[in-house]
Amino acid sequence: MTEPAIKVEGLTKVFGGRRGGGVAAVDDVSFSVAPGGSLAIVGESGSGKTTTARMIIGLEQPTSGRIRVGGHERKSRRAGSGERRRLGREIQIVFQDPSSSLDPRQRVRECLDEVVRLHFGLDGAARQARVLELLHQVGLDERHAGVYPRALSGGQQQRVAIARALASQPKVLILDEAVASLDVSVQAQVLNLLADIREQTGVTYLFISHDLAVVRQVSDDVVVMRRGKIVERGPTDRVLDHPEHEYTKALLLAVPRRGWRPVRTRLLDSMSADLAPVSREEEVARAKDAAAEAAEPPAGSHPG
Amino acid sequence: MSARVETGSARATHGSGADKVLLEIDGLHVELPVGEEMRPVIHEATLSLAVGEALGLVGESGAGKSMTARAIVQILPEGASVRGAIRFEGADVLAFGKEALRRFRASDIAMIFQDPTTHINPVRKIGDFLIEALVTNNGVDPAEAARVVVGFLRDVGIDDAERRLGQYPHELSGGLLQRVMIAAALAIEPRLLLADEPTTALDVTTQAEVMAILDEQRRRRGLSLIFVTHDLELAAAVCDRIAVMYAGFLVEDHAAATLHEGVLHPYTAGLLASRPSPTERARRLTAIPGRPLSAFEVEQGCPFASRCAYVEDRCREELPTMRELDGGRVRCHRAEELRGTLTELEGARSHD
Repeated sequence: MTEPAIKVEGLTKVFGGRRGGGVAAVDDVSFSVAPGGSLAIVGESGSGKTTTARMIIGLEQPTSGRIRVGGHERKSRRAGSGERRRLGREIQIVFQDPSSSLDPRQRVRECLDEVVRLHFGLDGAARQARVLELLHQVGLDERHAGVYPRALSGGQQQRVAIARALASQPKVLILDEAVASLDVSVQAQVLNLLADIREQTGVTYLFISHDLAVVRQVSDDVVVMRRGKIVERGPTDRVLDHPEHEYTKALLLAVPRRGWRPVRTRLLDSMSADLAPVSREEEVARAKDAAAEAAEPPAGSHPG
Repeated sequence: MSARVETGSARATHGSGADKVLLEIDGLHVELPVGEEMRPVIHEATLSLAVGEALGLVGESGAGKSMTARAIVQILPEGASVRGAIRFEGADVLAFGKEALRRFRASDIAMIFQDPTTHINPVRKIGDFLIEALVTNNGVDPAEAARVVVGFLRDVGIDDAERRLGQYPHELSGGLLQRVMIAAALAIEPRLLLADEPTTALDVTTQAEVMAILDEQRRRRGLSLIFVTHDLELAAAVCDRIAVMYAGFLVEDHAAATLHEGVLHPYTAGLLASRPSPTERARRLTAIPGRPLSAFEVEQGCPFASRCAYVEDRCREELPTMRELDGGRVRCHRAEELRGTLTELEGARSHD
């Protein structure tokens, strides 16, 4: 059997637990993704989906659990520079807001060349050819190479962020709400582009999203997270055609579409009532996950 | 339920004014200063809104939808130049003096914004915020106001209203705070609600809940609504009519119920087709090439010409006028000949 591209077992992250009483933002989460596959983690704010992604990429240390990417066990201690470079060829991430993840003082060419130079021993001409190849892969061309990010539209900036993530030829690409802030007409272009890239390169996707319509379009499998736990999982078409968990049903019912009407449902309120009352600690853990979603990490903080 | 609320619903039921015009926007053109020059943000928008009617103002970034809403209440950025006319119950809003404008904003129109935290004082309790508006604008006695406010909070689905009155904004979730803002908007008993992306920052399940409440309360009170959003399907679900804007121009004005079958403008059809569906996977999405233009980038001809699959020479040269067709209005040279074919664009997606 082939080794999964990503394998996560019993992944748990407890915030604020130094003197006991901490609450798990991510609670005993396990899943795996086959090489070239596409798994979506879907959930709302405070679900733990963003914290899960941040642990897999190495921006957050798990409290417990195992992460294997490309067959390599993720070490719990801080990685050295050689180790970081190796990680950068295994996994990359694209965030929601490209304007804060691209360096505004770096032209597009330099932004891509930097990553190619770091990972591959290529000479100048070969690097230049590789940069052009990357631009073409995301539907841009030589004209875009010489400009700064601010001269590009939001959709073009996100294409550059995708090209940069692909530059190290990673096995896994995490897309963290990567199309959420794009205009609808541009979002469709980028979704088509992501499908093409997976077909051409065989890269594995881990797609973090709140949007079930987007998830249907880009993923083979889905896990639905709520309050740090996986509540439902399976092939995307099966889960969205025949959802079993009440929360998945509620999420699906909430997506505006042709003939849809918003319903004032008490479902979610009554579901929360079934669970233990929310403690202050739990609120803090949820808020941290939601804040991680909102905050963009500084440029270059991701491996590679 | 408070007596005040019943007055509101009574007004809705004796409404003989179903077709009575509440608001007219006529040839609206807005420019804003950028450095030394003036740049257009709205080229041309002509719209009318009937009493009790809900209008969705839809578009992508730079379309001018928020600016149109802001022009109605005259809260445009410093130095804005406005041409055209805005009439509210026949009165010329652009000619309002300071006092008339204050009264218009305080009692005829209520606004609901995307981020409630920027429109509520963080160090004052929810109760003080709600009660103060009633006391200062409607001259209600404070004790009576507190009682009334609890009724409005119950109407927007907040059951433990008394407890909420004593809380600060940061103690409430985003969805709860937005419901407080809706209660505040309803409490001044306006004629028109202006909601600018009111659910964009909320989770999807919370969005559905908040939209359901807004829709239900608006209908019950017979209020008119202008709902500004980037989400065409969301607008179609709660509005009677949809007005689509592109690059500072109004390009289509259509009954929401027949939008899918009878879509008139290639841009609207493109918007409908490019959004993925939660119920079926498309082999490939029908994307519109290029990016949305901002109003100031528009050159001669049709503003959508550079992205349109149906473009002809005439489209690049001559700006189409907004004209009536099939009970709606459209700004497209080829609208008559394209009638009926644009819906196939959307249908094509599921078949391939």
